[in-house]
Amino acid sequence: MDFDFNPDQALLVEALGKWSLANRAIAADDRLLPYLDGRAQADELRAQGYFEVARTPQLGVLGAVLLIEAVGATPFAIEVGASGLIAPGLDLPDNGYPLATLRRGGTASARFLQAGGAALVDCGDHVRLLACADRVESLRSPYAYPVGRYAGDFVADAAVLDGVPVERFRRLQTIAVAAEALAAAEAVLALTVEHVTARVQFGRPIGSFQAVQHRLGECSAVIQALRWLLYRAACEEEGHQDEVAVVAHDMTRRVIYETTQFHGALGLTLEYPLHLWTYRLRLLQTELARAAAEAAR
Amino acid sequence: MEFRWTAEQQAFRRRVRDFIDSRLPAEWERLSEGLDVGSDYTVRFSREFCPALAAEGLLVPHWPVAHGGQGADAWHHWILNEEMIRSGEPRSYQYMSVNWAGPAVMRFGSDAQKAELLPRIAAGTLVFCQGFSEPNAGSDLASLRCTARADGDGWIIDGQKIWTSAASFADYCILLARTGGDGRKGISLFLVPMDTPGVEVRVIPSKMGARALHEVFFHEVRVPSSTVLGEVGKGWEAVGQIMHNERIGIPRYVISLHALDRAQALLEAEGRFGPALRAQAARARAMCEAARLQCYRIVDARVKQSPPSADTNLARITLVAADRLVAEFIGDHLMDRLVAGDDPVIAGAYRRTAATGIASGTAEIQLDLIARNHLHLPRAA
Repeated sequence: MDFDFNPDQALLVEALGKWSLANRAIAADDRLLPYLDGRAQADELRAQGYFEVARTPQLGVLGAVLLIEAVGATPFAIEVGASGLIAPGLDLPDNGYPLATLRRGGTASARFLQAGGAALVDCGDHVRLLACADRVESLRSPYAYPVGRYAGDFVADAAVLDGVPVERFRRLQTIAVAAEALAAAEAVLALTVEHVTARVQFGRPIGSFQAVQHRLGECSAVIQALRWLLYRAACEEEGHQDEVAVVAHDMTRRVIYETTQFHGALGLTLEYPLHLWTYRLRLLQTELARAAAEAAR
Repeated sequence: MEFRWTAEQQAFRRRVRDFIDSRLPAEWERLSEGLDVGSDYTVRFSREFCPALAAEGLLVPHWPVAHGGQGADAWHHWILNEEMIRSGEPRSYQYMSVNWAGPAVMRFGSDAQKAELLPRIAAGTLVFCQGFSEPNAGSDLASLRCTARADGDGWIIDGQKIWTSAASFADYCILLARTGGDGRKGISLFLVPMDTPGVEVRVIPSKMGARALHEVFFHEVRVPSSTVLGEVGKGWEAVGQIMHNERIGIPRYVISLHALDRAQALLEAEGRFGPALRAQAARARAMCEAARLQCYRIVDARVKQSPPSADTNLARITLVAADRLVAEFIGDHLMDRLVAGDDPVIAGAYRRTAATGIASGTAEIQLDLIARNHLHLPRAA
């Protein structure tokens, strides 16, 4: 047992931390957007090789989790889960960016489904790769991500990926989604702490009321609970994804509710940035609910 | 980062488990009245079991060699605790002696106290109880009113303690008493022999087991100055230093997971473990695993001698959440077994979960500490 990062992972955290802090500012013109396009940031990280960290033995899938956490702390919608964790975790080559995920039997729309990009398709007993080409239509979505719909039969049009076990694909997908949820939860918790410290009612900061403190304390505890389950799953070759799915799902439900609630009406506006993460969390909640339901089977 | 045990740690766990298995009677679960740590049988059993453990080098392996231990690290200590609790804690309440009473004496005791007490704890012949809470000083412990006033060469203790585990068979009480002034600065620690004239103990019948809770009365109890542990007036500080890492308490997730396994097996055998129950059990199991890792994180920090942090309070909240989910699962689906009383492990775990958010500092106090020390939220004026 050792709960510290190895030296390579520690260096990665330091470098990504700096990058993440340098990418927090929201341009005045972008303040009312439902999401902030993060393509420029993604290109920068990809050019520097960060999306390949999972292929480096000393960094591994945990390295990719740390990448997702750093990216998720920024206000930008950056596709990193599938490209930075799932694809390298499955040892797949770069098949186009961004990389979405679809599921046979599900709808043809997904976050990060874009023209020129690709999608991994869960077909139940195998995985396929879909090249989107120009057959994707962008949708207006409030869920803090770019969302697209494939105009065609996404299963029939996709090519079977030989040698990619669907169980491993799903396991990595759960880890990637949970890592994104963890990052978003940390971001909204920090915003909420800032808000309840500054907001004064009845002559005192609302964050000094025990009713507020205890509920935020419980958010912290479940976030921390998820963190170590996630890190363990990322360090191990197999197993542990079910507990990650279940706790991540519980965590998103709690954190969305509490952090939105403590902002009052402010948290419902587009002028205040909370929605950039709470509306990500709402979409991730759905993905985690499905993974949690599978865990119980 | 590494989440696996070393071969040596695995061997140590096997050695502990084999020793326990070789000593426990076949009817242990029933004889111990459903794994009640304070049952007459368990207390009697522990009087032989602990010296045998000591002889095997398994009572205080985590103590320094100078005090009868082997200098093993906190991981070995935690593995030992996990295996003991898994078997229903055959040490009875002696776990308190080896986990923190002994270390407190090591750190703050006089040479005479060390010479008198440590060899006996290390030999498995001494039981301590902890005289902290009072009727009007629970979560607000610093408001305690039990007094010790200087009298010639000693002290006279007057007051009452409550919720004290093991008091009716303990040899010593580690007592917090007020030696002067209000608040934290006026508090001192004493090691009071329980057979001192004027000490009176009453069992509080409870759902937690035969001798889990007591009231202890101190009527003009005269003790020599050699019973003061550490410096007069520094008791609060000493307890804080010793207890911080103990706040996670015992590895409760082990009992809860053990009960959950049994519950699941029973329900499966009866054909009742359908999708809804599976989902509910998966949530309880996941939270127990989270509690396990958060506790391991504290142990890791202890091994690396990192300064105390709010991680301990966060781990306690997860332990409480995990036990609550397990209790709800058992209560929802296995009340027939609880009523029939035919599975001591399930019944014992169910009983213990009621105290998880109360013992060793309530969940609400943990949340206060998380708000203050982890989230840095403003304090009430």
